[in-house]
Amino acid sequence: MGVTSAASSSYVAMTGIYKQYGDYEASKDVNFEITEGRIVALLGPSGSGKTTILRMLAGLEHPDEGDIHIAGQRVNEIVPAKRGIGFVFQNYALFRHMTVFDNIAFGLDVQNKDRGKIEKRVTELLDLVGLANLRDRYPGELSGGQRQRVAFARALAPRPHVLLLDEPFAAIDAKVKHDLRQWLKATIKKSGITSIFVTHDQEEAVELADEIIVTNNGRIEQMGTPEEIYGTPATPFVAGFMGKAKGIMNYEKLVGFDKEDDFDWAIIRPEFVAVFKKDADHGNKSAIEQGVVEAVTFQGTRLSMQIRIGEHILEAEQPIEANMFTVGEEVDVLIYRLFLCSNTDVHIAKNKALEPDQVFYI
Amino acid sequence: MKQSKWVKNTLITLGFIFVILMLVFPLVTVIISSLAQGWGFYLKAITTPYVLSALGLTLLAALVAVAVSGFFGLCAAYCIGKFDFKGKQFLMTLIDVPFSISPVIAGLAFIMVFGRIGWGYGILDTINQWLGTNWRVVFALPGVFLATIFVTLPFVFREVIAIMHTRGREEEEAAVLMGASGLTVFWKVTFPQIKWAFLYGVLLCAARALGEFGAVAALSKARGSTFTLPLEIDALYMSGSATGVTAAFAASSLLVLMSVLLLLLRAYVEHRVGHAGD
Repeated sequence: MGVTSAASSSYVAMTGIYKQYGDYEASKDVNFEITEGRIVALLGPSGSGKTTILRMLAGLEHPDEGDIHIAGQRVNEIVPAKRGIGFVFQNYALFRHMTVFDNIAFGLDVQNKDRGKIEKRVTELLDLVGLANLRDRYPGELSGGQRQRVAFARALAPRPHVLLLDEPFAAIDAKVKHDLRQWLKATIKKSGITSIFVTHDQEEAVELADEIIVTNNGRIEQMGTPEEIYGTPATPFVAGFMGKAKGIMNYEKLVGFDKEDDFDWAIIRPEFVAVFKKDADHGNKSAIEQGVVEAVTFQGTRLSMQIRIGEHILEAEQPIEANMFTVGEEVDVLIYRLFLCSNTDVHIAKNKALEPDQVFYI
Repeated sequence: MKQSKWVKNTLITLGFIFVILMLVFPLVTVIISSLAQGWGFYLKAITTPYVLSALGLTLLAALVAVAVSGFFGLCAAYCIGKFDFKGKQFLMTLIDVPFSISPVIAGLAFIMVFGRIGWGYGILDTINQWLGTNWRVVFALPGVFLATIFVTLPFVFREVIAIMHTRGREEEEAAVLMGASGLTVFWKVTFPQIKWAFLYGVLLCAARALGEFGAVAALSKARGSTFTLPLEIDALYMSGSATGVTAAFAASSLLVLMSVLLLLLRAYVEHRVGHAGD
């Protein structure tokens, strides 16, 4: 890749990256470009190579092959400290024997910045993360969320080009995760810094990121907006990884779907399935399957149901306020679509018995 | 419930009886026996040229051992704790060897290396001819120091590596990413984490150095010049006379007092190590 293209559209880029640890291939031909100011998630199961990508960007690991560009500069041979990187570690790696203030000031201290300037910058960041009143506390005296904020402020203090976050919510209580994500997203957007974070939690990636890079087995499966990744998966892996996916064989036995060559199996998600009472009034009788409710599980905000249709057992979801179904009840089932999968490819098949205007999305 | 209470009380009682019989009673006996012939005799016994020389050498050997084993232990723990390399596990096992080998064997090994028939003797001889000196290792002070260093080698390493393993490397990585130099990382990030464990290791090391007998005995034969306190005590006791035995107890009381002092320091440092994670 030329320097010009790196400077124009991509702010952070990896080209043809390979990395091996002994026999284990952590990165196989990794390529991506990230536009300035975006929040990007590296999403994948554990061992998929996402953390390796992050650590190579930071310079904590070195690729065997390939180029890394940050802010228009090739950084392969540049030491971590000179890459313009702010890094938030999974467990935050705060200096335990230093106060909040000294933690945030550390990056400026080692640059021998003027004391007054350091004081000003740290105060500014303490205000940004809302911890001005805790500046003299030690990390051991803070909550998980507060520690995350200190780590975030510490990473931002030297004004890096790029912020890297390794599983930033792994150490946070489920209860406060949602609020903290919203806060982090808003704060990152406010500071305008290009950010890349690693996560194995698709909910987190969808909620926080402008773009998602899905990794699997050392490769990048797909890069795109959360809507693209969710709605039009590029590979069987992505289709199966996102949402509550379930794989089924013999999909041609379902009403409205035909067997296609090479596409041997299909992936179905609960939102592709609608369940109706037997006597309910709905338009397209020809697209309807006959099913039996096998199980009903209360999941707080919704009901999850297992529906048997011939040899298949499919999962469907229903709001609590809608019709109640009981185990053993016969129901009408409408399957809107499926992701048909071959070994390498995936495409969307719509129920062909449905009139186009009757397709609705949930 | 009733039975477990009975078991608990019995075990506590047994523990106390054991400690009193095995530790407190003998140590008190040492102090009492050392005063068997009065304070005047006691003071005279601990100020003979032999005892004073042995006391001085013991303290010096302990100081050298603490300095060498402390520095080595810290370096080894740092390189094993913070870097990945081949043979890491093997190196860790090697450092533990002094724990499992009898000190006498260590002493004999040094004789086999630096004694008249050892391969190190020729090298030493060449150096002496070059410099016109007459350095000896075996049956001389360097031998005493070597023996003491050998038996104390793992202590600081053990304590420091344990803390480093639980702490991981992330804080150092964070510091490096922010541009801190190697020395800054060590003094500002690593050392504050390990300082209490380091001090604890130093105290264990000192206690072990003061009491070492076997390894030094193999390498030290000159009473009054290369004898440490444990050897001097042994020599006094072996003289067999009533005054000799009392003098041996008097000299022993010096070691006991130093040990108690180290014990108090240890208790304090142990307390700090326990809170280091806060």
